[in-house]
Amino acid sequence: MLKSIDEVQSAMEQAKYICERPLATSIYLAQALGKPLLLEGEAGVGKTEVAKVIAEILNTKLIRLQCYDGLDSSHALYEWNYPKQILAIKIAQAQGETGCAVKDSDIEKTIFSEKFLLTRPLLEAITSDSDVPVVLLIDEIDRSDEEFEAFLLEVLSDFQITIPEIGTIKAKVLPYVIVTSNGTRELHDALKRRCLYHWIDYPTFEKELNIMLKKVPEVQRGLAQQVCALMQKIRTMDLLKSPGIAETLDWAQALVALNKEALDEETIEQTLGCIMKYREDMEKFRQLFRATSETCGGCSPINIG
Amino acid sequence: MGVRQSISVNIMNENGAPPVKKKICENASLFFQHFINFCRELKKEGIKLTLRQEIDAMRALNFIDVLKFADFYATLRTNLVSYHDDMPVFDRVFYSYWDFAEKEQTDQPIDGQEKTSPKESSANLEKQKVDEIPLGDSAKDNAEENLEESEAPTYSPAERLKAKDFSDFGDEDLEMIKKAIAMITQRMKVRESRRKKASRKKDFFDLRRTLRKNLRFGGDIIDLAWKTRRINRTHIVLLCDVSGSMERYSRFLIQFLYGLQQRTQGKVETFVFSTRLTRITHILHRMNFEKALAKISQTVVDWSGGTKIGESMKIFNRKYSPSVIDRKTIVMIISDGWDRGDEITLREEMERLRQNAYHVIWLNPLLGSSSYEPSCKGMVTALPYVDQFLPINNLNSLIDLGQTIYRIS
Repeated sequence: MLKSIDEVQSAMEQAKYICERPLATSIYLAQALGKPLLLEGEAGVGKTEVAKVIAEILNTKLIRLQCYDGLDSSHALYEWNYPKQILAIKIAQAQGETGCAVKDSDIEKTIFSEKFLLTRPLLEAITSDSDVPVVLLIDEIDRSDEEFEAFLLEVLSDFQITIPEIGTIKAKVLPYVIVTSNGTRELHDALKRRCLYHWIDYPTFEKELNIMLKKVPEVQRGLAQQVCALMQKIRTMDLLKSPGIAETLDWAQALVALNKEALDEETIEQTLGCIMKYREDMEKFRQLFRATSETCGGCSPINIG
Repeated sequence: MGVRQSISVNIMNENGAPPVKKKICENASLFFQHFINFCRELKKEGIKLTLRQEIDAMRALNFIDVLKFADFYATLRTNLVSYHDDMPVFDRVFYSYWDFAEKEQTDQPIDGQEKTSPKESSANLEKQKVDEIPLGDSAKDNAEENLEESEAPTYSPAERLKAKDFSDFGDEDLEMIKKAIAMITQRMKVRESRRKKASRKKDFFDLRRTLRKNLRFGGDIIDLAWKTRRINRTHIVLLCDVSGSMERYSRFLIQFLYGLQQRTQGKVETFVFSTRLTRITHILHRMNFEKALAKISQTVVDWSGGTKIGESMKIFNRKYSPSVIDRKTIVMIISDGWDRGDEITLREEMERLRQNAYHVIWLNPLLGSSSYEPSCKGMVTALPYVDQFLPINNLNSLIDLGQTIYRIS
């Protein structure tokens, strides 16, 4: 259990997640109030990571539900194990032929019991019997459709699930729910209001540098500064896909693997694939790079950052 | 700790009298009063709050040290703000309501973008009125009114009215057009409901229900159960040119499509553009189109600087397209095609759009006039990538559009 905002912040830091005070406040309150926390922000700013780190701090299980268009309750909640059910029926039948008859109602009771249930993430989170709350990560909710959102709202408002054949299952310990959204689609108002809300921005230069030094300790400070400065600049560019922190870290790792100590044009060209995922973006970046080099009389843009 | 004791609350006086300063920790019920007032201020500025949110925010304050400025701020924000767009408004109200002038310097909020100074944001967003009627509701009201009206057999927009160009109507006629539009959409519901019946087919095998049904046969499968596709809801993405004279046409089209949406339960995503593109879907849930435009025009820098269709399209393709467009989405662009942007960008982006969308419809009010030739540069560039090129200048053209949507969806 996290007992204060300070504790959240320092625990997150220990787990190598640089966490600003407002985010720490939201994380702490989500637990204190028992409300889900909705994290919104551009792709790659570390929303999913928050859930992973919380699970790590609390030393508890992370249950992840990745959303996609068409996700329905049989993939999110539960499904009956049909082959196993049929098998059970056949066995019961065979037994009937050999004399020890089993009543139909008994068969039904057996095959619609928890043994024949395939639990999916939401049910798993609710039926978890550990004393420490599990962390339920509902990832990229904006990719699911509205029907699923409505369904989710129902689950999140009372943390219970009704299975007609078994009955209502209520959570013993409320799971710690983190919902993430890339903000590509507006979520349903009711769902948003059910949650605490926090928007995560692209990191500032200092924050990104901090993160990099923590996550990729092998990197030289000078190189890290260059990389972060360039990333700040790249994010102001008009790109199809702006690189997030994940890309920055990939890049730093690649540079370390190549034993680089400073960025130069050739190095950037070799490793550009780490941060740019579209050909158009790369082209645009090269143009800017060249233009800046010329205006500065040969001095590369990485030193201006 | 000494510094914290002097934190005070600034109460805004209704009649404009100088603000009264009170000690925050003097009295718990007084603080409660302030909190309620603060929520009221937020609501006045257009931030919607549920009672539950307010209660939870109040509860949350028990868990933190309210005298720590940054925590107090973050707690209220995470509880009371549900939209990123609302953050500047929240900041402005927050800073003008709670006077933390004597706060510790180190307790400033740190996140770069979230730190909008109150002055700055109040310049951006003028005060909105409280009596804004959400578009959804007003459209619903209209629908109800017209339900009654359509039962009276005499009411029907006259043919003359249907053919009159939108730009020829005076401001006093706007209400009447709205009603006529609501009536047209009301009629379309009937067409849609017939569709549901016709689509009931044995499309998919339903394993779950089949096994359930066949339990009594001891696990042998005799009786089959089927699933059928649900009614194909029409999803529409609307890109509205709002530069100059286009605004009026956009307004009626939006009115029309939202009416339609309520009948078909489809989704309409709305964007407006001139030199840049803004998504207004969520704003339209809270206020009507005119007010939504007024709101965003304060934040858009270059409102009347001509239209850049290609650039706007590019923002759409990059930022929104993956999430709002799927294979069944109809994209509608309403614009006269007067483009002051780059021709190559427009071509590239139209091509990209064409690849992603199910159907692209370009609506041009000028097409209503018989002498019109799509000769301007923007229109010529865009036309090869458009499935349908339709007029949008009067009620008749709206009716035609409705039929087109019905046919292709």
